[in-house]
Amino acid sequence: MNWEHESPDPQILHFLLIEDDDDHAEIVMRTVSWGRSGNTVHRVSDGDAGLAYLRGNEDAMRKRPDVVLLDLKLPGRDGHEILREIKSDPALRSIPVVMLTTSAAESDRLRAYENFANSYIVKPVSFGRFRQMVADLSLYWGVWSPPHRTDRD
Amino acid sequence: MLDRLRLLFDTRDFNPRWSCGHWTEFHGWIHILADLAIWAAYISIPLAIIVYVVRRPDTPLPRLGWLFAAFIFLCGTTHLMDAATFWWPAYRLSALLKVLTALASMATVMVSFARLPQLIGFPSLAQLNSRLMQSSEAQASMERALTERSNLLQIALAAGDAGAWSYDCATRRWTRYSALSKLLGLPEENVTESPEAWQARIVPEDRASASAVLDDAMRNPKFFAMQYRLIRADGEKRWVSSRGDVVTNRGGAPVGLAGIVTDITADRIAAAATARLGAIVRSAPDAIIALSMDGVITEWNGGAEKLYGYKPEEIVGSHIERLVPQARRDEVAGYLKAAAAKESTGPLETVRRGRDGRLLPIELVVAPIVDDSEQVVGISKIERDISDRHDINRKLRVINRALEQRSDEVEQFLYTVTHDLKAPLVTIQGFTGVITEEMGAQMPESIRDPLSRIERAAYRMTSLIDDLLEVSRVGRTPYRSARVDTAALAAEVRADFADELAEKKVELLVQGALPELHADPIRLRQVLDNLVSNAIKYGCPASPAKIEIGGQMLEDEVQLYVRDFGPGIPEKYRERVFQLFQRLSPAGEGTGLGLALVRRIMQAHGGRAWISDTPGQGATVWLAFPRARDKGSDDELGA
Repeated sequence: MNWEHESPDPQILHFLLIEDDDDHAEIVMRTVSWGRSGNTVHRVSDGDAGLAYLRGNEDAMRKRPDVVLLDLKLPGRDGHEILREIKSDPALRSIPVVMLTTSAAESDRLRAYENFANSYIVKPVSFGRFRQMVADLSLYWGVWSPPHRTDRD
Repeated sequence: MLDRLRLLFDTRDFNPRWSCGHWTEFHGWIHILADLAIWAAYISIPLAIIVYVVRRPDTPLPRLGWLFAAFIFLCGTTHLMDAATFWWPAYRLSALLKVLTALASMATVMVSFARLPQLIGFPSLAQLNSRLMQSSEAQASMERALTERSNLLQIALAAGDAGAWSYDCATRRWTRYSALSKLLGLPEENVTESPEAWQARIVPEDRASASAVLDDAMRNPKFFAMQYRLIRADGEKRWVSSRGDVVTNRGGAPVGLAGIVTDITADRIAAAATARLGAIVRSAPDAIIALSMDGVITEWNGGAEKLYGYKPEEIVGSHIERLVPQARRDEVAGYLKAAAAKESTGPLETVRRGRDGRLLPIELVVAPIVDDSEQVVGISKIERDISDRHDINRKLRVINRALEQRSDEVEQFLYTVTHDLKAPLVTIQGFTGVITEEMGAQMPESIRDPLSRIERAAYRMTSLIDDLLEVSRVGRTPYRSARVDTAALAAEVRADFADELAEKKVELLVQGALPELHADPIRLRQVLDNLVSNAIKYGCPASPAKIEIGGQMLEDEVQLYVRDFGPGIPEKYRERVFQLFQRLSPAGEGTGLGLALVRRIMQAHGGRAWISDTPGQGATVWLAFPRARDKGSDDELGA
């Protein structure tokens, strides 16, 4: 487990995007890198691939993500299950997980927070709002010093 | 003996009276004539007495009469002797007569005194006369009364279709009198016939029981009464009532029977019809209630007792409003007025209150009761318990369970559909955004406009999907009923809309103290948000404007309202606006699901939502919540 945070700029983040919809993934990737070079995204299409990436058994060169963007509706195990697994793994639970979903259902929102999601965002329906969302996320998760950074320091 | 008799008449020892003393002629003849006159009278009086006693055998005390006659006659003989002794001095005979007279007079005196009380008691003639007069008058009036009674009896027998009969045990003859003959359709005359002939006139099935009653009456002499059917001469069968008594001789032994037969066919038919109707009304499962014209309960059947729990003696005499919740009182006035105008009301579905305070959903029909002269004399009311449809409810529960199982599948389906429907929208809007951003200011107007239309359409689609999902969720997801502080809720709503209210210069007023109620707080909030949003959007065309929230507590309901003073909603649209996708405003402003959601939420509460005019101008949306039965518990409302 050799995690490295390569950017000295706290507002430049590395995202893990777990999203099966290619179009949505494309939009997220575009917004994440929009106007601000430096933000990076690693995208996987299902939860197991996401977990594998987080646990480092796939790619020796991976970077530890600063934020996980997790869709709810996924092939195979859905977002709730993946979230629960991340948050019950002591090595992973400190990584902020932001649910990014089309579901505005109260039940989904409540269940996500019960499973210790750090945030729940209904996919915005305009590109502008998408960008605003990423900006807000960068600002929040970048400035706020996550525990894994202090661990390493 | 003969010598003694001769001695009686021997005058040799005495002188005639003329020669004793110095009689003047005159003095002597006065004695002689007076004695003779007395003698004549004393002979006549006994004769008169004897004639009277002999002629009137009913003379009281005839022997006293004879005694008086003898005494007076003997007195007379002594006076004759006194006259005779002037010439024929038979003083011995004279002495004998005097002794006899003395004996007779003593006897008379003694008998007279002995009979004196009886004599005093004899009525005088005048008394006898007046008594006689009285008794003859009494007899006359008695005769008149008898005649009258006989006439009355005839009239009564005729009027009551009653016929008399008698039976003589000794002769075994049965006599029917003319009225009974008439009843049988026979010539009106008194006829005597055999008991068998009479029996033949009774319907065969009834003969045995009729004979049994008469035999029993004869064995134990007593009054009897029975009913049977007679066959008239024309073959028609008539129901009759036969009543009578046993005729006994002086020793109390039964010697016959006598009775009256009355035709009761019409009564039997009427009684049977009444009994049938009575049984129908009594056994009817529906509540059947009769009211006076002013609404006082006069009749109360078993169905009503079962429905409401009041016994007839507890409720008859009360006003019908005792059963009517406050909010429904207008109905009573309405149907009372209609009934007075000979009009029926209903069927009407409404709510009444039972004895235990429970609200009973019922269906009622009210009709005027009209008598033969077409006058409304009362009101009949039939009520049916529509909560008590057990079978339907049972079936509904089974179906409900199946539906609940399905409901999970539907939930899953809807969730998936919504998610999948929204995913392409995210893509559409995301990439239109990307295009806009990429092209920036270089985008020609010919592209900018179509692109913005695509964006707006996608946005509307998103709203529709969200609202639709919400509406479908309201009916399916169970939610909690809790005590809601409506005043606090109204304040929250006002705070939420603060920006919009300020922007449009709209004042949101809370009218009076809002009533407390039981509801799902989140759902109620959704309802108020929708209504206030609508009121700002459609009810405040000019600014500044005003919106009012108010409420009232009724006996069985809590009502809230949101009122605007805008253009109002035409009556024909007031129901339509509660339907899905129905809008009065141009397309593009909202999804047309807001009021549908409001109604769905109110229905899930067991309540209602409707629109009325605002006095003056505007629209008022009303919400009615049933009052909680048990204020202590927060019960789960239906799914």
